[in-house]
Amino acid sequence: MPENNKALKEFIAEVEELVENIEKNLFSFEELSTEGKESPELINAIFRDFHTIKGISGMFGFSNLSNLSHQLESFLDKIRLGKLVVDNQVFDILLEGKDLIVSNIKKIADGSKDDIPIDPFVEKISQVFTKNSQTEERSSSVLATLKNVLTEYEEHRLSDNLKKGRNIYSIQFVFSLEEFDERLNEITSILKTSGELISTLPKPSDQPGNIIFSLIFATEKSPDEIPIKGKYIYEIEKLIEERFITNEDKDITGRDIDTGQLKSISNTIRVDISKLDNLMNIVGELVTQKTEVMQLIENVKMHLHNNELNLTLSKVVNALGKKINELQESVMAVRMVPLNQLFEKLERNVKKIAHELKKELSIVVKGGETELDKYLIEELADPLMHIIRNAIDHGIEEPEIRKQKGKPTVGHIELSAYQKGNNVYIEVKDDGKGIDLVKIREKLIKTGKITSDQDVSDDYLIQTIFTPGFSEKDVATEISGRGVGLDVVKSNLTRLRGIVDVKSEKDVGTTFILTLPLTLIIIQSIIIKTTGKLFAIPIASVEEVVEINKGHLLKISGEDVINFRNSALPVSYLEKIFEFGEMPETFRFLVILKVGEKKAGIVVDEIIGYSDIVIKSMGKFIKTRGIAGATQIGDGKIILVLDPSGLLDEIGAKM
Amino acid sequence: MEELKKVMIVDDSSAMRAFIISSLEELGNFTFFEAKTGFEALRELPRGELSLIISDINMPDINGLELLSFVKKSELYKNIPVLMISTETKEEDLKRAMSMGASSYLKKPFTAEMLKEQVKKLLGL
Repeated sequence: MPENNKALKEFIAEVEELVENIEKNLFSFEELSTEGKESPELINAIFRDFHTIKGISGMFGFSNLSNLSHQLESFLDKIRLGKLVVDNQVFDILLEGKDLIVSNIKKIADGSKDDIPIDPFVEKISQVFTKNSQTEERSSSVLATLKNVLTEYEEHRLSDNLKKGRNIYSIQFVFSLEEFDERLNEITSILKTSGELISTLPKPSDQPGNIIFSLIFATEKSPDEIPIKGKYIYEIEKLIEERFITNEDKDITGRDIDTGQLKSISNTIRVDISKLDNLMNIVGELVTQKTEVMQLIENVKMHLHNNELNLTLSKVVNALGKKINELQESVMAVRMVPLNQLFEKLERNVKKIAHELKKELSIVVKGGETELDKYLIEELADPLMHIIRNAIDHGIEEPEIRKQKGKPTVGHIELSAYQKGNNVYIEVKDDGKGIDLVKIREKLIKTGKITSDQDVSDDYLIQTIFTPGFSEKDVATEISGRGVGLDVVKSNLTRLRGIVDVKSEKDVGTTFILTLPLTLIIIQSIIIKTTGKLFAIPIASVEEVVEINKGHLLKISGEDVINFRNSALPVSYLEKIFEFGEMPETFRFLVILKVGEKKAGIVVDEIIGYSDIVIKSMGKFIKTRGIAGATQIGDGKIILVLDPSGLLDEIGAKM
Repeated sequence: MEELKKVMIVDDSSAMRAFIISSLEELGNFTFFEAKTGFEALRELPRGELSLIISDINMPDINGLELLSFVKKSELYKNIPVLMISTETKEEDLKRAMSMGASSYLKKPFTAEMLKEQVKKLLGL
């Protein structure tokens, strides 16, 4: 340390001042607790003072004093984090500790060392620890967006208040830089009369000279009962504990904007998702009608032998079409939200589950900025959580086993997202033991699904984890069991027009890859015709369309295939899949569908064209594998929309 | 003559501030702004083009993480390097600070040499 007399004097004066503070606060605390009142702020103030003494005495090289205040600081930390209850004995210890600091600092002031022994005192503290310690269950229920700027203590205060069922509000003020501290002091002293102020977060304002403050405030009162109501201009928002999605939880965020202010602070607004859904539906219908108008215009033009007029018509209708496309894109953009929020929730849950299962693991999250339709994000939480639970429970091995295998004892999970074309990919990768194909094979043989001499591909074996009733462990565990298997994950994803793929290597790990459309509302599709019936096929799953004739077909074990670029591609017919009772006579095109690793061709008569369609669900009660819903096309006709993933499953099952 | 570099020190302990200043004075060419609280720091920020902010985490009105979040979100200040100071017992808080964009950190107790080394590195001296 620098031999600096000025700094040393500063040090002694400060410690003396801090000790006085501690004494004063200790007695106020005792007074309040005899009245049965809580006073987390006082405890925190005492903690902070011991903390400062520890910090500075360490810096000035007084190790005995530093050690002593360190003991007292951790003692107080336990109290303020709710792990130790203050009784008379604890209180006496705090007073005794404070006196020990005083006698040491006196010696320093006299120019000697801080050598008054502290061992007996430290011994006393540790006895109290073992007697009074309470293990506090750490709540994972901390509002994700806030968590980063809160210190550990503030986080504890937040969860403590949540646990006691208090309302948590975020109250936002705008002040000028000249007077913000005065105003804040006024406001906080008023707020403290009816609750606890947990955090004060400053934020830059767009207006120079201004500063925004967001206060996190816990209280039992409603926004109208908070005593600053009517006295100040502010925005107040109730913060809701984030839980795992259920539909009932959505849109309960209450917001109350105090009236009478001149302008609004933030430039974002909250909108009920159902309003956006409605808007999107209207845009969807507009897109359909646009197609209709365009076709109509083409017809009109053919009958209208007026070049000038034709040209103007084309111009106008193209401009209109372009604007409708822009409108569609903007509305879609409004619904897009980054995956971050979901990923944060998952991350917290991973830590919780790992703790419950006594597994050590680290998690890395990548690509949280990738955006996806809000609805999809909500619906993805459950399937993703399920996959992650599986990875932790069945994938990651116990630390000892990992050690034996020469792996790091800490398991690793990587959650990543990225966008490619019109799809978003989400991957969950673990470095666990991988899927045991031998075990799966044994199980399939035992249940009679395959015979012991049957040769089946690894891919087939892996796919069975998505079949109903499959569970890698026969006994359902607390975490991943609950009778819900990966088949539910798959069907949930199919409902979202997504697919799930899995790659696994023994002892290296397993990766689940979820492929999702950017949005569900408007999809590009091709319209086809076969035996007089029209269908729409989402273009994302169409690999290509080739011309064929009957002569191209080959038979392998009684099923049609074609030699497509030197590999056998299964060929099927919508007539056969949906049992129309007749088969196509003309063979003209083969639409090659590809979803994940699965691929097959569908024979059709005619390719009508390309169209943006809005899929309407056919209601809960009509469920046919291979059909995603219905849509209205250009001329007002209603046609069925095929679900390529379901179709491919159906073809696979019948082969 | 070389221009003086402006360093803001945010710590509620006057002894800590005195220690930091006396250590850095040996490097020369600095002017110091002292802030006892986060509020004072917010007020000091617009007063000069700072080359460095050294801030404690545990402070009374707003904590160092909240101050850091403000600095890193401001167009005007986000490029100022921030050196965070805390005690070794609050590892978690330091991790949060680093994830929010702090340039570096020091755990108490540290020596004048350790501080000087960090500051030199951050300022490219």
